[in-house]
Amino acid sequence: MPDLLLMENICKSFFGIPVLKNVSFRLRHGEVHVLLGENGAGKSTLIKILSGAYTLDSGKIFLEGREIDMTNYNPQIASRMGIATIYQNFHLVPHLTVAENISLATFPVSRMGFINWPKVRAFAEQALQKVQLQVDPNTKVKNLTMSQQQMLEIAIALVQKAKIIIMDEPTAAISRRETETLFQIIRQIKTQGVGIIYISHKLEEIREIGDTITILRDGEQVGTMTVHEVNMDQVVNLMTGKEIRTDQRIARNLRTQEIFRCVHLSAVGKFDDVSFSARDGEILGLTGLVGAGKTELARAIFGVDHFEQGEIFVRGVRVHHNTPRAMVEAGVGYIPEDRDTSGLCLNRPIRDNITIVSHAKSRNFGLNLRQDNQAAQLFIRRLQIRTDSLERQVKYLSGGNKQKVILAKWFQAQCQFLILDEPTIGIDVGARQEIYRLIHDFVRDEGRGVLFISSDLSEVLNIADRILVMVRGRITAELFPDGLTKQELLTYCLGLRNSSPTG
Amino acid sequence: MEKKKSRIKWSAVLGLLIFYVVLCAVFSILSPFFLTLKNFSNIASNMAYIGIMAAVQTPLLIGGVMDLSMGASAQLAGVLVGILYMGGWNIWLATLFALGIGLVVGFLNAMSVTRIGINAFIATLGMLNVIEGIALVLTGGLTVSILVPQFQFIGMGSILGIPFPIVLMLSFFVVFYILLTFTPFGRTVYAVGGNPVASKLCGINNTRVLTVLFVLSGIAGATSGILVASMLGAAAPAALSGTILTVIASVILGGTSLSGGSGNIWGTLLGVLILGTLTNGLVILNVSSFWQEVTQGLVLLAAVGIDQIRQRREQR
Repeated sequence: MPDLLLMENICKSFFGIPVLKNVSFRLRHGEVHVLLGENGAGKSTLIKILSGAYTLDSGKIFLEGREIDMTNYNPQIASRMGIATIYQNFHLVPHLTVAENISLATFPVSRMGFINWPKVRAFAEQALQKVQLQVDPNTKVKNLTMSQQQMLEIAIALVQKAKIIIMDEPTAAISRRETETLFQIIRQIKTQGVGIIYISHKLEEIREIGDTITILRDGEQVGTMTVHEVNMDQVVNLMTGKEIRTDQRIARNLRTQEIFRCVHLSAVGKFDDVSFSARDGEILGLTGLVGAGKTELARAIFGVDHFEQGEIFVRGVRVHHNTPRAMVEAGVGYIPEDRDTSGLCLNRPIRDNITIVSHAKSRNFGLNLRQDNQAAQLFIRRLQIRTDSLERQVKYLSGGNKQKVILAKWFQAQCQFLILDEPTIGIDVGARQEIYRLIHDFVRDEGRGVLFISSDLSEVLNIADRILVMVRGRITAELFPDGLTKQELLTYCLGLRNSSPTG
Repeated sequence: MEKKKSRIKWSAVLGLLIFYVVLCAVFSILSPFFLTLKNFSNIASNMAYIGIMAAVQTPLLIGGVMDLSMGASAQLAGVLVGILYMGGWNIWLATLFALGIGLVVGFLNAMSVTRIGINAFIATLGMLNVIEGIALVLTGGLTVSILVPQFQFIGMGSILGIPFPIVLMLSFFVVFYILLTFTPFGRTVYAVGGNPVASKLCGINNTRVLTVLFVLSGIAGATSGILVASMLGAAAPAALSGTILTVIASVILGGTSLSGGSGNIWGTLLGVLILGTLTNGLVILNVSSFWQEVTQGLVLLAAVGIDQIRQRREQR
């Protein structure tokens, strides 16, 4: 039997810059083939070519041994051929019901030409069964959780008789338990001969679910191997082309001055009686399971959402108005979890994104364009943002570079206390290291501090000087990373152990 | 490398410029009366009231909102000047009062959009009906004449040989060019339209930015109405009903995005001139006004369509 999918010598360039150089990729029936690589390595380009979103410059694609005619290839043809992509609820219509979404492509109609609703419902129930999703088919899709929406997308792909399912970071936004369910479904659909292309940055996951790994670096295929024969250090080396140091902590002087303090912050249903303080020069970690209330706390501190009780002090001065504006003026910066929707103006040039906070703070009437350009250039160089021009629209950058632009924006505005919410989510290993280094450089200067929020325990252990653990909206432990193991930290996060915090 | 980027940014405006030159060339071949200084000065003067409104509509669209009530504000302003003058007011005091009402209308628009959260399209559409109605009530639907020599200067006078309407329009464009390009405020306008959530998290007060824009819009609407009243020597309560569509058409023609975050004020000026020249040229060629409508619509569709295709090609 021929391979399910064979992509041969795929080449693609953007603006004359090659992003895929002679990449070949093979997928067998019933195989989970993991595509690994740093952001910008060409993974997304490769799958977008396969799903018809991009055209290729040269190369051939065979589906079950038959060559696909690439001249008129587009997403509709791809899905008709059985190539389905699971994006983050990208293909779902939120205001329609689960059943309607499932039948959207081909509504069963009665002899009169009207929609046959009982059939739609039966069809939906059958589809939901395939992924063991227990929801009422009449629920509107917008009321489903992230993970349920993902399952629904898989169900729809299966209903449409997909032969290949592409999953791009499917576990990025779902909890550990939901991930288990997802893996169970993946194992089950494998047995039906469906091939899965799986993109993820989480190396542990890959070992658990993958069969084969293909690694891309700078648009080149640097290795393909079966999961059993690899060692993860080797994979990381292949991805980055350089050794990775695990401990990010660099000896620094922690100064004693307090830079930020919040006292008895409470918001009903979100967090309760939260008090802590951060010192000058300190990277304060805040961790906890997904749903512990970390993001809610960060948003409330920065004034995006309101809190009912409590006080916030920046360098000992109480901030009275709880608005982002007041916090920015007090020298606090916030990097939200979701870069694209809340951190950046994607259609604006890099320069404008970098200088926007200082313009927002500015009380001058005019601005100096040359100064703007110089400032942007300085930060592009200092943060090593990879771009050919400061006029480049931010949407064309990779995740890591986008995050650097956001960091640059706060650095440029001389922010003193920076709240980072999951700053490395969806960012590849190499760019992560750079982000960590930038955070270290930031706190090295006098009068600066960081609140580093992350649910990635190893990351928190590696970067934070002190760790606060949040469980169900309360801070239940204050820990120091020296000698602390990941397992111990996890027991705190699960609420199995407490230590009274001294805030 | 930087030169290459700025070329891409200007290419939209450049394309319009080429289109404009071609349009003018065609008309001057077809008619000997077209290519004269006098005729161009006419075109610009006749478009001045549209230009003033378009100059302000541009930052509004960049900021992700729009103001449909502008034309109605213009109408109300003209009518107010006429009525107050007939009621014995000093003509300049009446003018100032009309501008003040424009400001209030803009502020009310801002409040319903930012505080109550009504979608800008709906909020200003409602406002359009309200003020148009008020203008009709005030005049009983009749035209009010304003024949005051000093007041006529606005519409008929000239400075250094340049008709005053053109001076007024160009000063609006220059002011908004400076505002958008050389002030921190201008940058915040792009940010608010580009991504309101992100701009709020940068410490930008979105409400304030939009309020300023709507207030400016109300004032510009009133200015435009006063200009028309002065040119005609009269104010009719329903004379400017359809103008808002021309205003928005010229802004869009100029390359400003309806979804906010991007746009260019000089593109808008070209958009205004193209639509004005088109009308003028067709009138000179004795084309019926019905066909003029058809042509205007087709030009708008073609220009925006070509731009969309160009953008899509850039992305792929």
